[in-house]
Amino acid sequence: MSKKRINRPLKIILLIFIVALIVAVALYITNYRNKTIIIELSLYSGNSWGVPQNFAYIIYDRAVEMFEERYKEEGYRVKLRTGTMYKDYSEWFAQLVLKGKESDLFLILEEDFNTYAAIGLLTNLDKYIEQGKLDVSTFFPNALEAGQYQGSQYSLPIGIVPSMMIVNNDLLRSFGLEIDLDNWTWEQFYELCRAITVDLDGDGLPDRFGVEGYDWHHAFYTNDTSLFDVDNLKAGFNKERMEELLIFLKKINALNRGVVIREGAFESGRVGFKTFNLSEFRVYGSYPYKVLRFNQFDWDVLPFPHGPQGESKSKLFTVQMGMSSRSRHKDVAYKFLQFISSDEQFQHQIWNLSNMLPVNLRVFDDLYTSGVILEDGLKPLSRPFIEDIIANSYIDPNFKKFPIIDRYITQQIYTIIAQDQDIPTSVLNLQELIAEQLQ
Amino acid sequence: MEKSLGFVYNTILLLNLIIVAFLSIVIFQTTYLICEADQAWNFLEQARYLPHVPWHVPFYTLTGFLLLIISGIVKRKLNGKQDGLSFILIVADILLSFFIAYNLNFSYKGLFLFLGLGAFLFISNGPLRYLTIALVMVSYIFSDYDIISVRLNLVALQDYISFYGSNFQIPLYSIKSTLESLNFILVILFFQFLIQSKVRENKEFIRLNNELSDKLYQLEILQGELEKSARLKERNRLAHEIHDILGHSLTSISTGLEASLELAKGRGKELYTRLEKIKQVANRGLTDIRRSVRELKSDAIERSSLLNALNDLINDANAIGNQNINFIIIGNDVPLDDDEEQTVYRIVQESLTNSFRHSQSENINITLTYSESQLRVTIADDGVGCQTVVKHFGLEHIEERIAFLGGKVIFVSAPGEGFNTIATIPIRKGVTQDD
Repeated sequence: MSKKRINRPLKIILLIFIVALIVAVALYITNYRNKTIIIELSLYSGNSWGVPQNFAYIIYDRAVEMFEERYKEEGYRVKLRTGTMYKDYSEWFAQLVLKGKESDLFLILEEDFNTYAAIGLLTNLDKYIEQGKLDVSTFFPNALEAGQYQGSQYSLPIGIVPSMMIVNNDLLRSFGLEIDLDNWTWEQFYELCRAITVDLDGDGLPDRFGVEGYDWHHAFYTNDTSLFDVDNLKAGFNKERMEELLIFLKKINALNRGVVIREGAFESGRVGFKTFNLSEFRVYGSYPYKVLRFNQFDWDVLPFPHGPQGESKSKLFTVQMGMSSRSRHKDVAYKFLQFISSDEQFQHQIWNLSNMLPVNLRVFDDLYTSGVILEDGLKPLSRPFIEDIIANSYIDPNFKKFPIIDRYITQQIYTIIAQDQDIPTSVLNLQELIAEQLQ
Repeated sequence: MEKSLGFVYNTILLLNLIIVAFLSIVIFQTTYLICEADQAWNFLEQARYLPHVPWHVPFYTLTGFLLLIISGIVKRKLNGKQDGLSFILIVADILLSFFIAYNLNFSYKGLFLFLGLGAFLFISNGPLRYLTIALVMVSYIFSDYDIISVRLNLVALQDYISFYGSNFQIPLYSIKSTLESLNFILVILFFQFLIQSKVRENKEFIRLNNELSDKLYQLEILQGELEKSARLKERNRLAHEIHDILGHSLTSISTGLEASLELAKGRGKELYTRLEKIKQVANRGLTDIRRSVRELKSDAIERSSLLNALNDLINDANAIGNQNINFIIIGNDVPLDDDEEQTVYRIVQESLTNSFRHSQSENINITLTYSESQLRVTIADDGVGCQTVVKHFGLEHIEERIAFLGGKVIFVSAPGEGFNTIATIPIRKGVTQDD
């Protein structure tokens, strides 16, 4: 009697198990028959360097086209998720992540990278790179570094945009000024700016300015190496160098007497220097924008001036693509990722269809040896100059809290300068603030 | 399982289902509210880890819980009969609970308490039960968010709840902690009932044990009585046999001899004398057999009342001997104690035997006189009597027995006057009414 009773629930469980098994097998078979593997890719329009780009998705359309052609037999398909502006992308994508609906592949904003790598959203690519026999030495090392977190590769770069300064030669010449690039220091830069900053209409406020778009980031890396000592949870900068930086920023900021330089001031010929990047160069420096914006004066590009204890350095913008750790087709997704970041044929398209530089060294080499870059009316961007700029570029630190702490530091430095706070005390405060935030 | 215990167990199961459902709904719903409020990026930045896919949470936890319920039903059907299987099921339950707890970001560990109760209910084998309890306890300890999050990447429930304003956070936390406390209280209640049922079980066990030993004792007594009664029966049967066969034969011999004596009269003195001697021997044999039978049957008194026994004795004697025995009862008979009845019976028996042997009487009167405080027993024959009463063993024995009961006995006789035995025994009042 008791045996029968025991058996009934066991039978039910067995039945449920068998039914589940059948359903699973059926699903698996139908899924497998439908052999077309579709991977999805999330994109934004716009970019981190703030330069408008026409046909933002064209480069990705091309990538998809070439990739699908390459893997015709396997029948891989790539679907693009587009329509989100750069400024909304972070939240939009975060919501997808939260809902568990993120795409297999996605572009990663620089400030999101550390968070996504830290929370485990990004797949560690080391294993795939090894399996896919990806030769990492063909990448610009800095660009690759931007996709690394705790020593592992979590995203791969597609293109890069180096940044630099642009100078209004006519304006300088009109003041009888000349730049000595062999001794391109803060001191010289400040003197030049001071000479240019003039009150023309006699209202007590300057109408002509030294520099547009220059902030503490540009200055910091040209005098010191690292902001943070993450391992020891404290600030990593040198106190003396930070004092020099703050004094310099204060001085250069004081020249404007509180006047905020409007956008477009440089283009109208009223500013001596401006922070600039390759993408802007390609948009404004060539037809038709060149005519509109930079045709009125003679201009040139130059590296950032360096502080007393550093060397010229600039920020390297990269476009990084990562793979979700929850992707169901990681192998295929990685194939696309490797394709878009390292396929030479496609990397040529980066130059043709976007305002970025290809991330592949051999393609970069091709562009110069074939003369494509110089043909494009980009004479000032000589190969040694660009190579130098890229080699001497920095990428932002890659720990999770960096974006927040960066915002804090920016705020703090702004306060120090605006309220004319005591420099040594401020440096100590800054150190404390960073240590506090790192905890 | 007892009813109340089962009820508390089911209530705890239901409560756990409510808690699990509540927490998974909070996680699920909060995720969507965060997205609606455009706080997804901030949430991810604050959360240390990649959160669960929202629909996975209620789906996986409730599926897991359903399996827990099924496993519970199976365990209940097993009813503690197959400890090995129950143990395997509880181990499976532990894994399931970890799965559920994982999906709830280890924000709730009361499920393991519930599993612990199962160990008490479904596993009767000692060592296996302790092993199960140890496993459940270790699971309970380690299913803590603070411990687990060192190894597993999970978002804390607080991160979800901190999305809400404090006027909503407080009720959420209150509900959670209230439900958890309720779970604890119910677990304590469960143990209260468990202990109670164990105590009751013990009491019942002791009661049954006592009952059993009582019955065993009664059985022993009955057994003794049965033996005694069998012995009596056998003695009676033997007595009857002797009486019927030997008695009958001897009587026939005696009667035959009587007739032979008549025939032998005047045929020769020698023959007559010899027949006479043989008849005497036969008569003595008959008397001896009667006495023997009487002695065998004396225990008959144990089975019936004194008066019946005496009647039987007298009837027997009347049937065998030549004497005419009268039995007279004066006053209302009172039931006597065993020892008293025994003694009265022995006096009568012994006196009758003596009369048969020695008195050559024709009539013997036996009188029992009941008065308020005493019983007088008189045995009087009309035989030859004697000059002096010589107290042989039999009479001494009678005296001793009477003295033992606090009574007296006198023997009165003179030549030609017969022999009288008069015994008085005090009646024990109050005691006699019992039984």
